[in-house]
Amino acid sequence: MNIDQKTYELINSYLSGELNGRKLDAFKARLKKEEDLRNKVELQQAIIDGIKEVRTQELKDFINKNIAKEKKTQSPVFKTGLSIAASIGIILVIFFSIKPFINKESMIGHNKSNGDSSNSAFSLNEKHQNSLVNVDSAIDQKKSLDTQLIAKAPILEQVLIEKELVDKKATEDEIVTDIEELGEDLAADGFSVEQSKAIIDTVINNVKSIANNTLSTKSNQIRNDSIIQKDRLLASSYVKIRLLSTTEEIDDIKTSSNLDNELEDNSEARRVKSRKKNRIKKPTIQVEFWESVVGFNGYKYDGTTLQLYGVSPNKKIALSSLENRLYLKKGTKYYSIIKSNRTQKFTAITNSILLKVLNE
Amino acid sequence: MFVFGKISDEYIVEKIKSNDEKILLYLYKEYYSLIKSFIIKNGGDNENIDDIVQDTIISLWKNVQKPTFLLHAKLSTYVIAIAKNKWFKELKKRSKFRRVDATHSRTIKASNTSSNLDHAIIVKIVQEMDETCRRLLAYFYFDGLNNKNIAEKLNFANTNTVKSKKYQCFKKLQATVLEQYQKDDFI
Repeated sequence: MNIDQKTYELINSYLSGELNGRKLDAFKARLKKEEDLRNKVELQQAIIDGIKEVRTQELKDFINKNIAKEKKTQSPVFKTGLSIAASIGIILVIFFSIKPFINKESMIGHNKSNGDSSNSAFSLNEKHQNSLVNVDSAIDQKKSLDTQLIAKAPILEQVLIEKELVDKKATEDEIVTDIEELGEDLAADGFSVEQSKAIIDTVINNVKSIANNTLSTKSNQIRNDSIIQKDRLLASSYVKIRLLSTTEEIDDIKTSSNLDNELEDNSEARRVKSRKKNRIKKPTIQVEFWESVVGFNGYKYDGTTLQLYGVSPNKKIALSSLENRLYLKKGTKYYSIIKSNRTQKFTAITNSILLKVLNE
Repeated sequence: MFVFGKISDEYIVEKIKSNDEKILLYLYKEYYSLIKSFIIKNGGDNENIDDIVQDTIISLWKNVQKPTFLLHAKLSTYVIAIAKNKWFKELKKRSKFRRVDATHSRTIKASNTSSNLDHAIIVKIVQEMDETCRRLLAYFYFDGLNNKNIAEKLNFANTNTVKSKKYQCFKKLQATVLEQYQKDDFI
């Protein structure tokens, strides 16, 4: 079965679907008639399938070979190294994230420590470590006291940390007091005066340096980092007080007024006039409008200034005085104002008779 | 570039069309997870994944190299469509084998063996043929490269040389196959 180039190209065109129209019809007619051509087409198709199969396998081999090579490059040693590097990275990130909290956590650790020097929990920041390592070295010289002293050291440290925000001097004084207490404890535990003194001297020196260097820096840092919000004074103004009297009092005043005209020399009239003057002496009161950080609604009245919290300076208010009691009108409601050094909540007046008098 | 960077669909198509085989590695790594999750979701297991991924990437390679190929959607959509066809074809094949009875199974097995034998002979002959001829025929029949591209890839003088060489290679291959068949007939 020999194949010429023309037939080869024709069969190629037929098998690839490029043959169409009359050429295709003519080729199909030939296929029906010519068995040799049918065999040639069949064989050519089989060979083309074989070529495709080989090429497919070749490409698959190319992928497999290169993927395998890459996997090989990432050998177990490489992977292990990569894992270790990743782990170290994660540990470092975690360490620096929790670093600010280490002091607190180690404090708890100290409380729980059972005297094991390796578990002395002196793994704080470097300054802490260095100072406390010195304490350790002093203790090491007196091996018999080692366990006891370490058991006490965390207490001192706890005391120091608790006083972070106190003044440096006060902190120092308190530390000394605590150390003295430690001396008493040591004495109570059966240590000689010389031994206790030697330990305490070492501890005082080291602890003072800790207090000076670490705590002051830390407390300053905390101060710098903290923003302390305070209540804010929004406005201040003087408000006239409407003086109210019971009917009796009003009549009394009215009567007094009449008398005032008629009996100017009368001593009773002078007394009433003086009483009136006294009442009018303080017709205004200083009212301050404050904004509370915690959203407090209420007031504080010390007898001279009325501090209002949670009341807008734009809000219309009125003050009335009845029987030496001050009443605040806010909106349509009245609130009694009690003189006190502490802040009070607004208490609305519900007594209908009192409201009637206040509304007159 | 192929390992770390994410490259555009257009660049991938360009690379396939220029018959740069390195792009296959990128495609394999890029779409492996996508195809794997599709197969796992559709009742497959890890055993089938490698084959389906490879077949999918190679089908993509073949299809993109066709002169009529145009990318109308994202390449990932196209890839997953091919993988879907490949996987459903595989499932269909498996279900067919399950349904046939023992007798029928033996018949199919016998006929398949016969067919595979013929195909295997041809495959073996193709594998053993001269490399230039094998590459030339593969570029033409499988990769769909035209004579000009084949000339460039195989450093032939011109397209006529490619045309002539292609015929000679095929004629030689056909003769070897026929020779092998004749030998088998005598065995």
